[in-house]
Amino acid sequence: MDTIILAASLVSFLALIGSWLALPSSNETTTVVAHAVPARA
Amino acid sequence: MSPEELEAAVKAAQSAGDTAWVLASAALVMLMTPGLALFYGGLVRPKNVLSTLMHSFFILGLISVQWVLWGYSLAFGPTVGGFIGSLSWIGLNGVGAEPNADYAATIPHLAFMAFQMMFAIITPALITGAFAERKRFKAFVLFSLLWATFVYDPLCHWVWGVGGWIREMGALDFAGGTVVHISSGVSALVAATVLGHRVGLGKEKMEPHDLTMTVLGAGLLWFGWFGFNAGSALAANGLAATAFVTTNTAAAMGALAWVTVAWAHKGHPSVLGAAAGAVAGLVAITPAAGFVTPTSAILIGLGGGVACYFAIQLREKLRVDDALDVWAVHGIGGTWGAIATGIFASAAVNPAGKDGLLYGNPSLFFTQVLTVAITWVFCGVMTFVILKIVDAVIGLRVPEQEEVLGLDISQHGEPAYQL
Repeated sequence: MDTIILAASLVSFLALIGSWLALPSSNETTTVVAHAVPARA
Repeated sequence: MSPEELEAAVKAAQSAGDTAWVLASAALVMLMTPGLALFYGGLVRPKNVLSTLMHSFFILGLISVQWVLWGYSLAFGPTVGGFIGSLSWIGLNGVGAEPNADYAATIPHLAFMAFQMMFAIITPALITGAFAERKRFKAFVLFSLLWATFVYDPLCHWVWGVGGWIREMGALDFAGGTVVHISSGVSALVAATVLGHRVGLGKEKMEPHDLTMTVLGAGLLWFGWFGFNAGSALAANGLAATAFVTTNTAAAMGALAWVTVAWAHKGHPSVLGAAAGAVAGLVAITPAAGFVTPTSAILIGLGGGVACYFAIQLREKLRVDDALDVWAVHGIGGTWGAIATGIFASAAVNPAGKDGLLYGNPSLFFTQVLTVAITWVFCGVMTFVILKIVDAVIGLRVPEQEEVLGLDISQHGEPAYQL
């Protein structure tokens, strides 16, 4: 049973890490705005 | 040195180490209550900061004295039928420097009492988050005193007291999943429902006024929780080290899980989510800390972070104004933790515990579920009755104009900030 729990905890941790890569970065919006400023100027 | 002298020296050294650790743990748990004050204080509006801090700080004084005078005797005194401690230890009569082998054989009875006192203090302080920004100060004082005496002390006796009927039933609660967290969380839900919404809820912004304060409070809670859980080993030994590691692991996973779910749901990795998630993980591991492996703690922390996050969504749909989400974090986190203890507990970790469901013992799982149900019903009913009594005697809420003005000025005559 300890091996199964170890596997489940490993999978859950790796799944969290994987999801962070897939989730949106809130900086993307900021970057777009920052690039737009010189264009307007 | 003769063998007898050697044995006496070893025992004295063990007692010194254990006593030092339990007293240090009591101090760590004491710090959690001001930490909680900061955690809650950052979440309210600027006009209610001091009143929110005052709830926790005042309880530190109120329950310290209550515990010495009669609370400890009711909770841990010689049992009366398994339901309550007798008053034979009133005023700490007979509670001295000698150990009480029924509870902790290697430390002074007074050290055990002091450690337990800090649990009795923080539990009613947790509830205050539910009625923040609208409860009359006098009503808060009377409620806290009655709740500590008629809810916390009996429940503590049932679960932890020698001869307590839930303890005799075989339920496991290492550091207070039922006694501290389910009791405060369920009582918070009842209190929020009975008090009703804050004036202006849904019409005006009620955003946290200082999340830096909240994150600092969460950090102090995490720090103090090492005393809460590892101190519950009541000795400086391997079990304390196990509880220390499971506590930190679950807090970490709770924070990561909450941030991830909130990120997927709302689009941002929330800082408040990291703080709340760590607390959710800490709550969830509390009943299990000395009974499970560190890898089980990862799954318990994960479950705590996810369950508590969705409990907040449910609470919002139910339109209950549990202002600082005490029920979602402590009620649901504590419930998950108590049930998870029945799933993940392993006698290999702690021979004084039992195997859980995953290790071939479903009976512990059912005992844990039954204990959770009993705690929910007892705390819910008793809290409702106490609130109705306090409402009849004093009145629970401040008048509307005082609520609009803010409790710092209307209840305490002091503003938090001179801006």
